[in-house]
Amino acid sequence: METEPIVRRLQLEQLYADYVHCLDADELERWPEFFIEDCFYRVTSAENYEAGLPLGLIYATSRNMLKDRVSALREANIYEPQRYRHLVSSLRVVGEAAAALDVEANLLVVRTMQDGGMTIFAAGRYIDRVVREREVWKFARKEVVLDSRQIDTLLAIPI
Amino acid sequence: MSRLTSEGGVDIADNGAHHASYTRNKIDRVGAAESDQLYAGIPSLRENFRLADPGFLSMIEEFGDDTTTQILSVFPNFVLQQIQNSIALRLVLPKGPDKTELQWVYLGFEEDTPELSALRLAQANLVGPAGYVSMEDGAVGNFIQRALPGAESESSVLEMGGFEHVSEPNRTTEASIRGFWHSYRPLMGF
Repeated sequence: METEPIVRRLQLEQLYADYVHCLDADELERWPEFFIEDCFYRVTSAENYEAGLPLGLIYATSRNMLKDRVSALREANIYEPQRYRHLVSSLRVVGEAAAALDVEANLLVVRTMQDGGMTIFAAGRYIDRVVREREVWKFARKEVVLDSRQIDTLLAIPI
Repeated sequence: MSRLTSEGGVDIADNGAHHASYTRNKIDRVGAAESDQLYAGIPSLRENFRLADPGFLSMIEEFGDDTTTQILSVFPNFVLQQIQNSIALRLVLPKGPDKTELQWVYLGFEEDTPELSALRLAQANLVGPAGYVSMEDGAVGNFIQRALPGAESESSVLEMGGFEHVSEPNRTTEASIRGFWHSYRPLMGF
């Protein structure tokens, strides 16, 4: 039996589990380390994505821009305390190039604010490209494509 | 990026309804040395805060007027923004007593160079729900909205610079928002 696809599958499942744990556990300083240095990250709407429009609500073209996001949240921006709970499912490898995999997964984020109020904050897809860097899967691209064209007035923590 | 000693101001329509506020960051009204001196006594929230990748804060001069930021507000619910190279239309749509939708249309142009397109996209990080500059604005508006029910008979006044709405050659003013309310209140019968 060919075990390599199974091993790869488990590695990818682990990558996404670690990624959302980092965000949900407020370990944001580790978040940029899930990406390669020359990465691309954006949060956008399905409407924009499907129209081929490049705009993002959060938009980064380097890992350093992701680090700046985190330092801004920690040092500069003032926002209401909150907690995310990511649920990721239906992970699929949809494309395979030389050293990269195109991976998609469903995502749901429940957000709980300091007063206890909870909302389904985001539903959508991760549309990603992962590559191996020193034996570890990292995101070369991550597009967070949200189903709704509306977003709450505050999007502080990345998705 | 921006100092209050930079050239800038607010132009307000006679009836107060519309205004344009603008900044020309490259031109300092008091000179660089005096601006440094004036700012030397003002504590920063965080000293020595630096970005790891500040490239997106550079700017390509598009209109030849040195304007780095311009917010044009047309009564009652339209805004045209130029923040560096990020150009957008904003439409404020009240949806009910507890909900307002803000629609954003960001503009790029067919003749934009790849470098200019990249700056426009990256500078969109500055505003919006995840905006470096505007995150607090959204959060504070939300706080106030939630605090209002149950306090309808209460009032508070925080006054900065009088009661009039006249154009001013500086941005240290609330005259533009006063102008908005001066037009809004008679229309609504308040």
